[in-house]
Amino acid sequence: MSPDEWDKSGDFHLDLFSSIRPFDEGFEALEPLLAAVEALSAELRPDRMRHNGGRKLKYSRQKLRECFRVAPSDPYTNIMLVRSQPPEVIVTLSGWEHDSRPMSSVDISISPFSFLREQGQAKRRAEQFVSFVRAVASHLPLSYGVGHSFTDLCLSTDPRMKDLSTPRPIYEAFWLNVYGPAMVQAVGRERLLSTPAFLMEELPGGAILWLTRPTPADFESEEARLAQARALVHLRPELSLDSTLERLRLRSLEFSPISMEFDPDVADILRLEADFQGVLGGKRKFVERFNRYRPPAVSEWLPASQAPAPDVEDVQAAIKTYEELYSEQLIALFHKDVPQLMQGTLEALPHLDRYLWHAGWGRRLTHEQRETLVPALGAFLGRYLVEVLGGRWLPRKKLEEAAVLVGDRAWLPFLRARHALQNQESPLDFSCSQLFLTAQRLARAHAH
Amino acid sequence: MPRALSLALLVLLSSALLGGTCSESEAVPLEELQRDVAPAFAYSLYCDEGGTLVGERSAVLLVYRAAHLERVYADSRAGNPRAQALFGQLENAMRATGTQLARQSEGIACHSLPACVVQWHKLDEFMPSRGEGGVRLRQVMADSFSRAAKLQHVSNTAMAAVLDVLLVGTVLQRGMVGAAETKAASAEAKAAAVEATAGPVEAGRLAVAGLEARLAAEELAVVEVRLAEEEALATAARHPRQLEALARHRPASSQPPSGVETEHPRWTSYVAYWHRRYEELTGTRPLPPKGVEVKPPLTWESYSTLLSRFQRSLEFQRAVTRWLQQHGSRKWLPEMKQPLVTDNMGLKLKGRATPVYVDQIAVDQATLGPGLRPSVHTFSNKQRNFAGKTLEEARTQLELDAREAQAKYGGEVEVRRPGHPLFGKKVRVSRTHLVYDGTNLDLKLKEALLQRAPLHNVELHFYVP
Repeated sequence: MSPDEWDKSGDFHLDLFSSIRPFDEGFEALEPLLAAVEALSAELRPDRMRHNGGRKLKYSRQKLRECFRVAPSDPYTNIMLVRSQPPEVIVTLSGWEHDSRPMSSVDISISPFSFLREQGQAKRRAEQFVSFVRAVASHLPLSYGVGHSFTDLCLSTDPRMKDLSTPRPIYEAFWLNVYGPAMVQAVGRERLLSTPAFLMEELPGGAILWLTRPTPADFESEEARLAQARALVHLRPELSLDSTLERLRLRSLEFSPISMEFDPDVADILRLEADFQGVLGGKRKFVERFNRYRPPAVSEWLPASQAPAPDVEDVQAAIKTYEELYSEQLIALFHKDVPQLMQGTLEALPHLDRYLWHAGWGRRLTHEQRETLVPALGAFLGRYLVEVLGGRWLPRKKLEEAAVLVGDRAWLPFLRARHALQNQESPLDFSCSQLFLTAQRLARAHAH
Repeated sequence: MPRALSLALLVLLSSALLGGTCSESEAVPLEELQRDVAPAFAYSLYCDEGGTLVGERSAVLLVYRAAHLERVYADSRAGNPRAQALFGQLENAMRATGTQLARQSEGIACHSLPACVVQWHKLDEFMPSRGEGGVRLRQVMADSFSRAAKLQHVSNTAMAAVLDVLLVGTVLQRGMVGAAETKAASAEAKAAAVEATAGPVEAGRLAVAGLEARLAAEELAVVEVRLAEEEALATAARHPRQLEALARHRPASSQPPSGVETEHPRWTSYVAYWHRRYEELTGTRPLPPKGVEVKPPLTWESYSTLLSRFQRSLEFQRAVTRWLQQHGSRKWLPEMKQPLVTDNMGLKLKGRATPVYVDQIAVDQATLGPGLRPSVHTFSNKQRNFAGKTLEEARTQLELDAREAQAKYGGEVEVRRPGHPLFGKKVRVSRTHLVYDGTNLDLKLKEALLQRAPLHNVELHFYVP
């Protein structure tokens, strides 16, 4: 597995801050910034826009001017420019306040991060960001800026938006760094300019731009970590190079994939959850833990010969209730959390299992909710056994005895559902996926 | 015999409200009432020249016909003696009904509490009006019920049932009905009434409008407003708008869909809701004041799902309140020395007629002295679904939620709850917070949203119940 597949949800952020708010001076003051965005290369350039969370429109400077005319700026104004084609690019120009002081920011986020690693393109793309920063700085005096892998930024000790003090303390060194005049003064211009860096450049407005590496692509590599550590230690002499490097290497470890060797019957659920947790959520630890996990064998079945015959008055009506009322109820309850339920494909089962497990449905049910959910979940599972494996319902008055006959086994989907909803971990231990896959395997074996 | 005639109403209501297990219903069946088409209003339909009820069913019909009831109440408020006499008889009937219900619900006829809890939600079917007259009658009834219940040391479960009527029926403020009555009552009753009004009714786990939730009396108004908002916004399946086609979907209390019990509160509340909406669409019931478009009723499935989700959102809000009152304020409001956190607080905004209800409001009591500027924080709770959403969509949602929270709970507000230290004061909200349900949000999205929140003037938190 490549690092990009491992950190699937990773993206790149470039955030620039200023204590001047051009929004206050009308639309004209924003035009040089818009020109900088428009000058991005075609592969990055946004073509849609939203003004203050409003409807998404095709981008044009003229139309945006119109939006501003209709809704004059208040201290909080937001222009979001987005791309309709991959990669997902969001450029935001925002006017806001911090501690009753005016602020503005210009930021770019690009997803997926792998876009920046593309062979042969990485350097050119990195240069675009540097040009962008120069263009912005020539119209907006910057007080602070950072460009880096967003995942790594979140794992760092930098508190990001929680600290917008002036001068902002130096927490870490990233790929792209912009220090405004107050920071430059606090560190000392000469000291800052002599930081070991790939690029060190004075910007208009008194800020200094510097890069640790030619591109943001290899931020977690040994070379990049060494560059980051050296720069940081230079700026903060109280830190030791060894311990700084050690900390950065530990962070890099989170980005290095380990193989997922999950039990095949629950592998889909665990893969989904591992991706959901992501690198930020401690994916490595999760995978290590669940590589060792084996679910208990499925016990909710009887040999076909021992399955109780239907004891309901109207078998067809009972089946209709299971399939229409109960199972539709499950879809109604969860389709917003588990959109896959609407497609009715096999893929829905592990998504549903994961959601029930992750959201703690086994733990937080009231008695009444559980009594609603058990029939719904059981019927939903039963329907898969019927529709995909060609099973046959054997309805019973007592739901836990109702079975679906597939080959020489009678599966008890409602009993399974009850087991799945008993506590925090039970949706995984008693997953629908596992029962379905076991039944499918045996049905195939039986058919041969 | 005017007294006997208003008793018809009493018999009807008490038998319906107590449910089949407690008494045999021999009164006018609801289905028959539902076929009723109200004629043009005239006092002679219901009473003689002096306002005395005439005719077997006049009280029942008058209470059922919302527009007529409201007309009589309005006239009585305007000083019309005939209307006053007529409405007075209705009040007496309601008062007697309330007392009788309190006795029966705990009496020999009804040993099996709470299985035999008063089915207040059915009141809405017999007395659909939510206008001022309808509210007044409900208040009279609920007050006499709780007074009688208190005197008989009725369990809290039965008392709690009083609340049931409020949600489906109307907003009712406990103890609002005339101080004059309390004066007339015995000393014991007076004490009981005072006790009943002080503090929230201790609600048990009860099915309020088919919702399973613990609610204090003063929260019901808010909950009702919210539910109405959610219903108006719901995009789920509805019955056809065209009246003839709509009439074919008319639900009956006695015929729930398969798998639902006749007495299930949610079903009863659905039937009441459906009929209310039908009348609003046919014009036989005054429209809600806001000038909102009245949509045709939701199907039973949509309605039931709406209630389930609504219940989840109530529970979420409850959990956030508890967290803030217990440990959360130290984390989310670290600068507050003596935080007082209350929920569902009514706020009046500058230039807005109707109050808004804020999920939670926190005030630092250490900042309340003279010459100090009170530190006031407001919280908006949202359960958003970001599953399958792009980052752009998620960020736009955040921006919209933040703007809404700022517009409703930011700036200068006036606190509308008596007894609150800020009651009646105009204060500037120091900070507005937005609380998302973090259950199914991945960390990366959480971080991305946290990054944006200050740009939209809110402090963002994630809470996992």
